[in-house]
Amino acid sequence: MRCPECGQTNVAGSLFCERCGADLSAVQPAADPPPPGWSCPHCDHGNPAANVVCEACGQRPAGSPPPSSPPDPVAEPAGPARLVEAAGVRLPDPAEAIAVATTPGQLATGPRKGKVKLIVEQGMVIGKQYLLTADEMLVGREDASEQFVPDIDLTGLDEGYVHRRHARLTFEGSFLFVTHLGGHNRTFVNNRPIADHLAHPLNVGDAVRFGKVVLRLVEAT
Amino acid sequence: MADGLRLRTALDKAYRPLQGEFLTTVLVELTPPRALTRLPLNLGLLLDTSESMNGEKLRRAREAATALIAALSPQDLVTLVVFNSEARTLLHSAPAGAATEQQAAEALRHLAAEGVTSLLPGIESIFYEVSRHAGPDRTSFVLLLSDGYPTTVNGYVDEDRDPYVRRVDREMHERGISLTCIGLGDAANYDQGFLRRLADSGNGQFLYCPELTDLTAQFGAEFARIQRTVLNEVTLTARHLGGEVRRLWRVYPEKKLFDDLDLRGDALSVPLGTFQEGQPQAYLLDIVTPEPPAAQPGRARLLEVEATWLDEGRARQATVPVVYELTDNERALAQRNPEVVRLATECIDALLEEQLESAVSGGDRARQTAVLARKKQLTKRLGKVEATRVLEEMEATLDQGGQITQDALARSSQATRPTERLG
Repeated sequence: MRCPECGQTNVAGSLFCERCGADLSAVQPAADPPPPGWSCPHCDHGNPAANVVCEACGQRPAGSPPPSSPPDPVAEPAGPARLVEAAGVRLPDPAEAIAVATTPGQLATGPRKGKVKLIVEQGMVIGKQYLLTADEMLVGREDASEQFVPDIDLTGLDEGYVHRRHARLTFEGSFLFVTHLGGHNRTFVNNRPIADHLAHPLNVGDAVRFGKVVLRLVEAT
Repeated sequence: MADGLRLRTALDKAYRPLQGEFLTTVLVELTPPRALTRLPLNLGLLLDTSESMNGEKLRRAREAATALIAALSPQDLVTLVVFNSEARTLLHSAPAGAATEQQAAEALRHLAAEGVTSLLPGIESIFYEVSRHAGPDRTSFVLLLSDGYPTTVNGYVDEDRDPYVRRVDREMHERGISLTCIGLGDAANYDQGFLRRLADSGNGQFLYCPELTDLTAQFGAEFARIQRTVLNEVTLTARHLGGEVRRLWRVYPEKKLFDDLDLRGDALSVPLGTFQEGQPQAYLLDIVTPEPPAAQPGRARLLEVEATWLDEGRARQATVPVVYELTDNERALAQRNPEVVRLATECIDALLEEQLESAVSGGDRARQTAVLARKKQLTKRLGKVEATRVLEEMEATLDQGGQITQDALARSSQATRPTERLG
């Protein structure tokens, strides 16, 4: 039984999500078959029914309506809260939107260079850590033929779903941004795909997924 | 011999599907009879007399302790220990009465607030005094009053607080001594989470007392509760478990999540401590049962619940089998027991309170906002007006770029922990 809020898989019969405490009554009754889900027509990845875009490649299922009034991501102003809408994907509910939006307090307490790290939560080597120490870091996988090694090298962690130049992490003051560099396998923040070539703000506690590798941004102690 | 504890059980889902793992929540309610005799007290008072208690706080603590000792009956025992840079036993365990009252009053009168908050020696001293007279024929209770973080003898805040909790837990398990903690004054000056853990380990209560003028009343209310103790050394055992125990909560009268479950084979045993007259207690047990070996409809035993206790020195017990039914009938499978669902909601609300405290202590504002939103949904559904109001204040604080204060957290905790009387 999958939590519609955080994606955690819970034992059938659970009243609340084990991880986030969300009410699972909408996912009941327990006798119901699991949500049918859908298979992505582009990459064949199996998605839970709640997903409106493929969690692996970011494409929409066949026959689904396009997002209403699709915004032009390039034309959008670069305010962090706007970027959530600019991605043209499912909008968070108001409570989540508050969590994503930047508040004055976050300006003072945002992620700082050398003070935060990414820890692998899902991937081939769970627990591997990357301390974020540079103003700009490329995330991807190694290409031996071109002698190319990204700053955050996810080679061997992902079974081939990470691009060589997958995303870029950038510190700007007390902000940390992640930018997807346009590859077919997407970058996700808190289980939602982000727009191509647009900086998306990250907060401590966020889960970032490159292809199939999930990393959590935490404070370095 | 009087009537014993009454046991009642209920399931959130009386049916389970024929296939797959399945989580069932079991409500166990234990109600003491009204006719039992109140037990004499074996009471310990442990007072913080560190420098921060100087002035009004110490005066109020003196008043509250004096009033409490005066309210004891001649068959009760009382001891008084204070702690600052060291622990001092002002009154060794003695029968209550005029002489003891006078001795305590004299010692309290000359008390000065100085030094640091060396709590661990205080805990050692008070348990030494109280444990000498602990037993099934007395209610052994310690009341701890503090207004600051525990420190080492050198005055540094003691970050390793597990030894304190382990010590209290051991006394509770081995000697049946309960502990109630009172946090005095501004919650920013002490670690309310720590005091609550101590009280949980001691099967007592954490009481938040921001107003010094309320201290005597708080002591009095807790004393009145302890005085109504009619059963000691109650133990709850779940045996013949048909699955894995995922979680155990006390849900009524106050929520408490049991950390270390004592699982032996297919049995789980939990000491519940004391029971007060007219005060039932309720527990929720989450059990995950594996896929049934044969996918056949029919009744099956989920577990057997047993309560044991001492009554006039004799061990007594009550046992109730808990069964559920395997079915593929979807209408039956969709049924929920609203009473159990409501209590489970109360527990999740308490869990979110802990998550909120963790997010605040970690300075994670995004998480604070997300947890607040989810918790508010639950408090509204539970009809908790005061708890919802406190959460809305916190949301407003965050919106304005402010920080959630320890005082706001303490108020939220006070509004979250108690569970309303069962239907």
